[in-house]
Amino acid sequence: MAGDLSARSAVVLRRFARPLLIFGIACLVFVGGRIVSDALPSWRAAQSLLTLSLFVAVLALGQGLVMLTGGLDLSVPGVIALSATMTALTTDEYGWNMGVAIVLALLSAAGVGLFNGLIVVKFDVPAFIVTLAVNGILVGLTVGWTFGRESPPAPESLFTTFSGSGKLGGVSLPVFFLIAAVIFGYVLQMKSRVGRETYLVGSSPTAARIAGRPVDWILVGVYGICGLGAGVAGVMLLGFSANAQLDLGTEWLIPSISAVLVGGTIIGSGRGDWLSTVAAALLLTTITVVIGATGFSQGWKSVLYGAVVIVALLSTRLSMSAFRRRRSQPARTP
Amino acid sequence: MTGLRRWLGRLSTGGTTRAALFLLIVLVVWDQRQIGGLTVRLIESYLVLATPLIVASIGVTLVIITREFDLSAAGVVTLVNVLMATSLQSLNPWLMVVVFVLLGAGIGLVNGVLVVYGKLPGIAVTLATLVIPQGLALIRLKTPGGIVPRTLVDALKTHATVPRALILILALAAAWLVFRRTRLGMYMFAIGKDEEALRLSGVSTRAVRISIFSIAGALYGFAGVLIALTTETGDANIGNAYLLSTFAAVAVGGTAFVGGTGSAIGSIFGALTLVAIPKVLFVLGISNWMVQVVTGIIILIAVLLGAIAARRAKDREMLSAHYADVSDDSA
Repeated sequence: MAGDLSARSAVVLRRFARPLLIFGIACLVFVGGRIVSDALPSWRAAQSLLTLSLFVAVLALGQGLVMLTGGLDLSVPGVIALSATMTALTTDEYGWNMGVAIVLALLSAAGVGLFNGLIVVKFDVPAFIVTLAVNGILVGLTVGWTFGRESPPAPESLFTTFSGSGKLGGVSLPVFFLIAAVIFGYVLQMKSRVGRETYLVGSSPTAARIAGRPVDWILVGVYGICGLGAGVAGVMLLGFSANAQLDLGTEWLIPSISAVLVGGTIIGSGRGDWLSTVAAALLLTTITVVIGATGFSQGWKSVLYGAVVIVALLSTRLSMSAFRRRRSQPARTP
Repeated sequence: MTGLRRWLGRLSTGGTTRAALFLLIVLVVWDQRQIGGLTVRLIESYLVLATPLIVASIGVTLVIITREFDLSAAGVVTLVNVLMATSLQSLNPWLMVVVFVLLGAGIGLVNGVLVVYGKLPGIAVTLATLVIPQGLALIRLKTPGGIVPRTLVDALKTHATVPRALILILALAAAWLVFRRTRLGMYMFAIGKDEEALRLSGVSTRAVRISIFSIAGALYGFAGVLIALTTETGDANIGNAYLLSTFAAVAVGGTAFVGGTGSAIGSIFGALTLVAIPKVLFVLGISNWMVQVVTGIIILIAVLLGAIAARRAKDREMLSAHYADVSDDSA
């Protein structure tokens, strides 16, 4: 009985070890930010950090599911631009109700995702090149649509919600959205049927097919979720930055993919967990904030991101082979 | 009717032929609509403009043939472009080129080692080696500028009876024809088709894969040099456009993303097509934003055609393998 309990706590520990480790590093970096700036660490800095993490986390959820199945969605910046521009233009220029505008923007975002998925699945072509092409098409179309009306403004209420000026009990609203997003992501990826099917298809599409799972539709759905996530992020970013600029999404693509990789998800292996991705999103955002505080060139951000990704990839690989060794040993020594 | 269908069938399976034909159509349209037609000067500057993309996309093609992905091209190209305009200015210009090609090869080597010995997905590793050089380039040069050695610029751009850029392109094509017959070239194709079989036949597939990543890196380095020579300046933001256009050139060039097949000559045609498209759309009076849309659509179509052709080729192979079995049985 006691052994059973310790075995169970070992399982729990193993499951939460990685997210806790990454979260711990993020906290260290945040506190260590003191070295470069007197403004760190502070409650104000923490709030803006959590706000920025919200966008990364929302994007990383769909991207993470796509990556579990072996794909990569590079159309995210285009979808963000599309959904932000749609919301801003339809409310500001055509005077639509904001709710209707947002729903329409999200539907089109999901539609783009489903289109990506259909092409990738039907023709068996690499996801990243398809989504790269779709990204170009979307950016071009958005430019064409907004021609002459540069960066339309966000609806007022969206601005107060996501810019951090709106507060509830002294805490800025995006923090609550982040908490909600983390819980939603956990349920979706780790507890729901969608998550289970995605893991199954990711670890072995053949096995999933033999088991009678509708593999093709699961894959298409995963891309749809990723598109929808990018659409949600687009609406949030519109509120955050007050205007629908075209390059709104460009700087968020690499952080969201990096968060998934740093969180230990291996592309196309069906391995990875949501809480680690969230912790990684916090870590990467902290790095961004600290570098911003140093006044160093933004180039350092990219360099550090790349370095963190490589270190994380190698450590994931090492911990995986260590895990395999542990598991295979008892079999060899009877 | 059946003749037409057979012809269409051949067209859809021969990637390089398809790419050449498409380029021809684009060039004819351009010639027809350009006021005064395509002059020698115009063609000369067009070829110069296309050289960086041609070289970079040949590198990407090699990696794709081994059934890997390499996103680092855009990063290496950017870094070398910036360094060309800002660093090692006191060095002999030709030595400078060698140094930067070696720098590219070094980054490719890192990619190869991480992918092969770290058993990591190429797309994840090269995402890191895409952003790191881009960051370094931005640190070195915040705003576009710098000076590029005149000797080298003249070497590429000086007007001659046979354009220098054309000589370079033909040399690349010749090098490809030789390379694919070498041992390394044949192993490259074999790895893409069936790595396990090649390993079982006693070849060090690790060495082959690392070599291909390094050669690709060297080509990206050379492409970075060429960008510096064509634009005569350094720009740390040039890379993002290259991320799309290198893969686009490969796709339009008829290389399917399945591994084991592909042609650098196809990619040369693909790159030439991609550089011509904005010019053609311009003379057709199509607005700037449509260029991006049209390019995206062309890439999608090229990728889909490539996938269909690859599937057909596979079916045919399986069919002929089946017949071979049957004849073996009867013998």
